Amino acid sequence: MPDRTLAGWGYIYDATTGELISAATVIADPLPPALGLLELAAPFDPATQEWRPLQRAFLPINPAVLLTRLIAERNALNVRIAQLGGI
Amino acid sequence: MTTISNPPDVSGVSADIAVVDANVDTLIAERTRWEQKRSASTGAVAIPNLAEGVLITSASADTYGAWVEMVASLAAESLLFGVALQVPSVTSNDSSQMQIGTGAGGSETVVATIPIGGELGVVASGRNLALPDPILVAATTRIACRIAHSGAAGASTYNAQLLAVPSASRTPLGA
Repeated sequence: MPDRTLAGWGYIYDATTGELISAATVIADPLPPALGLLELAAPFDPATQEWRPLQRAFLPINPAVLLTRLIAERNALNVRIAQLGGI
Repeated sequence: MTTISNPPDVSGVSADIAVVDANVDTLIAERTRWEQKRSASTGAVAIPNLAEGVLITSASADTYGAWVEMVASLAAESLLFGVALQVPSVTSNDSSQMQIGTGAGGSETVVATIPIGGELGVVASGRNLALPDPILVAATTRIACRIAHSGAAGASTYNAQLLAVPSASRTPLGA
């Protein structure tokens, strides 16, 4: 299958479910018919954005999700500190 | 002069020879591949090299996330032999596995699956993993990776680089 080099980044998703399949600068040409393509000039920022299957787009991460991640990180640190005998 | 009254039936022999030729070619290619594996190397590099690793995010529990491009076009034929990973914090006995694929976005083919052991309470940390079997990848090949994580909490993000030795820097042992 021939390839196509993009000027920016291509995000390939399942056209039915919106599930993100691949992030690429080189894509199959043509793409398999079951896949969709979102082209962006620059890669998305994983620290602040996340893929939303329904919208087929990268949108800001929900603050509640960010908070959950921070809490998980803190808990992991506490477990590790306890394993090392405390501070 | 001897006359052959019943010459042997040679129909189909050409096809048989072609099959044998193809098998010999395959064996020669395989031998070359193994000779390249049994080699001394002086030029291991990371992919991406001398740059920050690539962020790879898993999907929901036990589901691979999206393929993420490690290199759009490999500069030279190289032998992939490992992965350098920064693993995220884990709060349970989670484990993960990573796949390496080749091919354009939307048509990746899996060439390796690597289990990544978990450890309770590990804070984000670095880890180097050896491939079960090194993989020879042709120049200009696109390489991508994806990760699945067992944790029920959802997506986890890893920072990854592949470890490789370009063919040009390998010398067959005993040469």
